[in-house]
Parts: sequence; C-alpha cells; structure tokens
Amino acid sequence: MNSTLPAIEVVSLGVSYGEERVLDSINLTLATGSITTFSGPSGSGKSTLLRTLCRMNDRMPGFSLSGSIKVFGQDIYGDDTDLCDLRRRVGLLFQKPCVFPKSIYQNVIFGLIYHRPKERALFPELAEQALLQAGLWEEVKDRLDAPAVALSQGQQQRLALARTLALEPDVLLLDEPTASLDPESANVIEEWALSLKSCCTLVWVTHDPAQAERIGDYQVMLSAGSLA
Amino acid sequence: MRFLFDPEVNWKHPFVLLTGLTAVIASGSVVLLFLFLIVQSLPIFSAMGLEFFSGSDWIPGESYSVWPLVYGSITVTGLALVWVLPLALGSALYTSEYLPPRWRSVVKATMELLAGVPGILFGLLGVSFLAVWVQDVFGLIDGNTLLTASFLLAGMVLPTIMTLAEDALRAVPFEYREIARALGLTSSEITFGVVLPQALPGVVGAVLLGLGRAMGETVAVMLVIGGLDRLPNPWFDVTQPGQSIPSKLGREAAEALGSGLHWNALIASGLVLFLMVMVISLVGTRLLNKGNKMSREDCCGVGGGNEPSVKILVGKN
Repeated sequence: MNSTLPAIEVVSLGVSYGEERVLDSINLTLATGSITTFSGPSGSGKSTLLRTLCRMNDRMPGFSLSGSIKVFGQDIYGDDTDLCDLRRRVGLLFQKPCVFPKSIYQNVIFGLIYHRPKERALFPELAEQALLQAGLWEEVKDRLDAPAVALSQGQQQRLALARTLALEPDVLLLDEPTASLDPESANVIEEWALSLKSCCTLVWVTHDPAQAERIGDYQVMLSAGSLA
Repeated sequence: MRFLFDPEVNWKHPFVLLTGLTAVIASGSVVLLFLFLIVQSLPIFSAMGLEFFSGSDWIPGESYSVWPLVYGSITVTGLALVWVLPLALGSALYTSEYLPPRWRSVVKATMELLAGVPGILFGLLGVSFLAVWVQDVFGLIDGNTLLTASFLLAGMVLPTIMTLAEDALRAVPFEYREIARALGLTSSEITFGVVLPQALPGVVGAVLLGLGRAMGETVAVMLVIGGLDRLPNPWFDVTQPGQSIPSKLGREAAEALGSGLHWNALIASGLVLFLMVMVISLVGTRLLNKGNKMSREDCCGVGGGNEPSVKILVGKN
C-alpha cells in the first residue's frame, strides 16, 4: 500500500440513528502501520465509530452519515465502493470470540473461499501463515481438522483473528477483542496483535485505560459522541 | 426409580397426586390408543396374513389390502411435497433473510393463522375450484384425482412448513451473519453459505412435520381424491382417482362399525397410518430440536443467538 497516504482519514464525521446523534464532528487521521486506541465510557460512540470504518452500520435502522471517511485515499461512502472488497481490506474482530461450527482449518479459509475461489491450491499455505500471525499455529498445527468450538475462548478469539488475517487486510479493527477473555488469554491476544503492526494499521477499541496506554501509538478519547 | 421419585417431593400432597394422575392419564391414553389399534387389527392379520400388505384389492366381504391406500397416501403426500418445497423454502428464506422486520412479522402472523385453518375449509375450496380446474386442464371426466389431492395438500401444509422453516433459519445466531458480513461476503453468500447449511436440520425437520400433517389429513383429501381403492393403471398416472388411508377411514368407518373383518381391516389401516406418521413426526421433531439447539450452543460457546420457537403443529388431525 502507498505509505505516503494516511491509512484512514475521517473528516467532520457525524452519525445518527434516526433522531439520535451518536457521533458528531469527528476528525481523525490514522497513520499507516500505527496502532490507535479508541476509548471512552459506554455509549460514547467508540464502537459505532469503529464499525463505521468498514460500513458495518449501514443496515442499522435509521442510520445516516455526514462528512467523509477515506481509506488509503478512497472515499468509502462514495457511490462506487465495493462493500465486499472494502470489508476484506478493513477487517473487523468482534468482542465475543465466535467461530463457525466447522473445523479449525475451514474457519481460517472461510473468507478465502469467497474472495479467492480460484486459488484453492494456495489455501493451506495461506491458512498456515494466518495462524502463525495470530499466534495459534503451534497450538493447532496437528489438529487442523478438529472442530473449532473445542478450542478455549482465548484460542477461539485468535482463530477469529486468523480468519480475518487470512484475507490480508490493510486495516484491522478490533472491537474490545480481549474484553470477554481471562487476563492470560487477553495478554496473548495483545502480544500477537502488536506484532501485526508491520502488515496492518490497527484500530483498537478498549475500555481499559491501562491497555490503551500500553498498546496505543495514538490514543483517541471519545465522550458523548465527540473527541475528548 | 430415583428419577421417578424425587425425595424432595411430598408425594402425599393432593396437588402432587392430582397432577401425577393427569400425567398418567395423558400418557396412558396414547398407549391405550396404540393397544386398541393392535388388538382390533389382529383378526385381519390372522385372516389375510401378509396379503393385507401386498394385495391389490379391497372388496368388503372378500379381500382387504391396504397397499392401494398406502400407495395413495405416499403418492399424494410425496407429490404435495414436490409442489410445496420450492414455495415454502423460498418464502421462508426471503422472509427470514431479506424482509424488513415489520413486514416479516406480518407475513409470519398470516402464515401462522393460515396454518390453523381447519382442513374442511381447504376441502371446500378444493371441491369448488381445484377439482374443476384439474378436470379442465387435463381434459378428465372427473376432476377428483390423486393429483388434485396433492395440490390441495400442498396448499394446506405450505404455511406449516414455511413458518417452521423460517423459525429454523432465524434460530441461526445473528453473530454468524455479522461475522460473514465483516469478512466481506455478499447477502446471498451469507444466506446460502452460512445460514442455510446451519439451519438445514431444522428445515428438514419442518418439512417432515408438514409431511406428517399432510399424511394424516382426512376431510379435505376425502373430498377431492376420488375414492377409488385401487392402484392407478399405469401406476404412475396420478390423474386417476385413488384413495388415501385417512380418506378411506373417514368414508367407511361409520358403516363398517361392528361388521367384523371389514372393521378390523380399517383399524389395521389406521395402525399403518399411525406408524407412518409417528416415524415422520419423531424424526422431524428430533431434527428441529437438534438444529435449533446446535445453532444456540455452537456460537460463541455460550447461549448466544435467538431463542428458537419450536411449534409442533401436527397431531391435530
């Protein structure tokens, strides 16, 4: 990717659900290869802001948006945006670890089946690479065909991370990825996510100020829908 | 016996005794029904032997064979299934995945209302329109045929299958759809690649429960099936009149009561129907519960996802 461009550029962004104004006049520039944390109290709009970056809010009832968001220079709310390609390039990891009731391997290659259907021969290699990046390879390399639901919560979250990384995203959005994990699993996730800086730009929503301090190159505080 | 007698329960309390009694009556009635069917059909089995299942004629006083009736029941329900499946599954998929929530509840309410419409009303519609239409289109002397009955049954079980299949689709946790969307799948890829495979056991269960209902339907089928107790010739010509087990029973039970073998033959046919419907409903219910349970437990390792709403609509015939 062109490293002279900022990864994400948010200009006077406003988001409303019906009458309710959720985000107001947000201006942000996120540098390529950095980790930015969004933190703030519940209801401050940090998750909404995160999900707006990959257009996952579009189908919420009453959603409307003003201002603009550019990802590597492209206005993602423009008319010619390919949503599927956008979501491949801007991956999202959810708070609750959630895997499909399939094998570990099938989970990792899930997105690839749809995005690169003609390159099936490459899948085993890509899967290994993604699992390595997510720090799960050593633990599962001998049982890739085992059911994914048998993994621990922390492992499931790293599997979900691998599933997203397999698509080689340019930006990785993490929505409180460690909030529902035990401290040890949370540490593992944190460590592995930090090592991803070389390949993606990370945006990390967290409740925990200490965590934001620890991992963020840039910290963004939100309060009642505005930058604090 | 521990499972029967919980030590913490006061068995002498009148409320416990009373509810226990009602439970015995309720479950006992099913056993009694089954015993009644077996005992009353024994004479025909000893008189006809296997001929009862393999013969091809039902002539009161001479020979009784359930085979044409079984053939009629299977043909009519099987064909009904062929007609109803694309419609029911298509509308279930559309309602569950694409319809805005407000419209979805309107469609669901309508379908559930339709599922409760008594069979006789469908029968009246069948007699007034469907039979006439089949007669015209196929150039028949009589519009009361196996085919007509199958069309009518398809219409009758459409709401049942549609609404149960839709429940099964909705029971697939919302999270799966969200993840797939965040991975850049299109709506149709999510529907066919994620939701449908996950809901499949439940959808098959819905179809089987609908099938069970169709197989036991009496009055509506009786009005349009033609009432002829023999295999069509050639056997696959469904534009000929036929007979299903329930329609046979409905027609002849009153006159055959106390008439010896004729009565026993009818009861034995009832037993055959009972077993067929029981197997279908059991498998259907199992799949439906399994499907919904699976959807709930597998996601996120905890009880995420929507509450399933399994409604058993069979057993009202």
